[in-house]
Amino acid sequence: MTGSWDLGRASDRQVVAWAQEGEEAAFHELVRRYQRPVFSLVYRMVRDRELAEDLAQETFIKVMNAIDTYRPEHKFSSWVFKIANNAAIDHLRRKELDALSLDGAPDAVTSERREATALQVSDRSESPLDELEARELGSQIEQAIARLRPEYRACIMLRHVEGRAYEEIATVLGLPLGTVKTYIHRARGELREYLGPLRE
Amino acid sequence: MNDDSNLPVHEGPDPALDRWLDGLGRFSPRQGFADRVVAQVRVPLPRWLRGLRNWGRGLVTGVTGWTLLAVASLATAATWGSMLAVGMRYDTVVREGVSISWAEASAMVRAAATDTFVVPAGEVLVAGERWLAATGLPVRGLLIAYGITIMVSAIVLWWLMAEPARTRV
Repeated sequence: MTGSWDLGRASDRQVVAWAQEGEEAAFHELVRRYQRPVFSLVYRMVRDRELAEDLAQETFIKVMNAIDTYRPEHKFSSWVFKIANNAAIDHLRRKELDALSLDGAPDAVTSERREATALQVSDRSESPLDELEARELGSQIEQAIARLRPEYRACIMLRHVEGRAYEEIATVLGLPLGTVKTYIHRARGELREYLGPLRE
Repeated sequence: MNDDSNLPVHEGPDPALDRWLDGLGRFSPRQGFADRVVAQVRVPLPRWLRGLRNWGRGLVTGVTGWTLLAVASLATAATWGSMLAVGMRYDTVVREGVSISWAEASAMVRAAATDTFVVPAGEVLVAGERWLAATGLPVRGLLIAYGITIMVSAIVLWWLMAEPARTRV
């Protein structure tokens, strides 16, 4: 039986190998490692917390039930993000959505729900004014991102939030490397335009 | 779509935009997310056990439960006949637990097989029943219990080997 110490320090490849052997703790570890990245990606794509959780859950269930098909020469993260992105894109093709709010999801009607659905930004020990300004910027950035095409949005999220290399983004999205660069270039151009007033 | 691998990522450095984008946070799902996910996952069996299961599935692929039951019933009769044949032919060995060599044991098995497949099964069973009755063992009870065990085992084996529905990715 693998200990929690082993799991926490093991590579994705090793944890997947343990999961393929039937170690339930290994499944938990894989979900623990990728739940926030996957949920964040999907949430920013679909902009509905409950829906994002359903889609993220569906993503992990698909991944875990197909864990035997995973090939170690590929990155596990690419596989997970690919399935998550496909789930989000499939949903977006069926719906029109509103902009995401830093102050909570548009469908939040109680203060508790607004707080639960609000973006949790890491603490940077800012002054109250800095924090207010950061929240305002954050909100406007989120709205600007929400205006991007889903494909551009996915590229920006994978690049800037998840820190993925262009090659991995190309693998996740099933696009040529040149297309990924084009999308990021255009996405940044659009964001620069949307956020222009903030620079003044 | 025009793709250009030589296209720069952006027209020039934009520290402000980079800072804003790099400062974006991650969202968290509700507490217990991992538990809810794993509760719906089919945790696989260890590889060696899966290999054994897949081998078994290969044996019974295309075989219906009723066919399996029929084969198991026939096997039961053959096994029972062999046991009776061994018991009758080597009565002393069986009753008194006399030590025998491997060569003698092999000869017993060959003789039992001959009795089972060459001698009409009905004769073996009839003779065997008389022999068993003489030993004082509850013949009817043994036969019924053994038969039920084999039937239940066959049904369980068929159910375990049945291909489960799988989620496709």
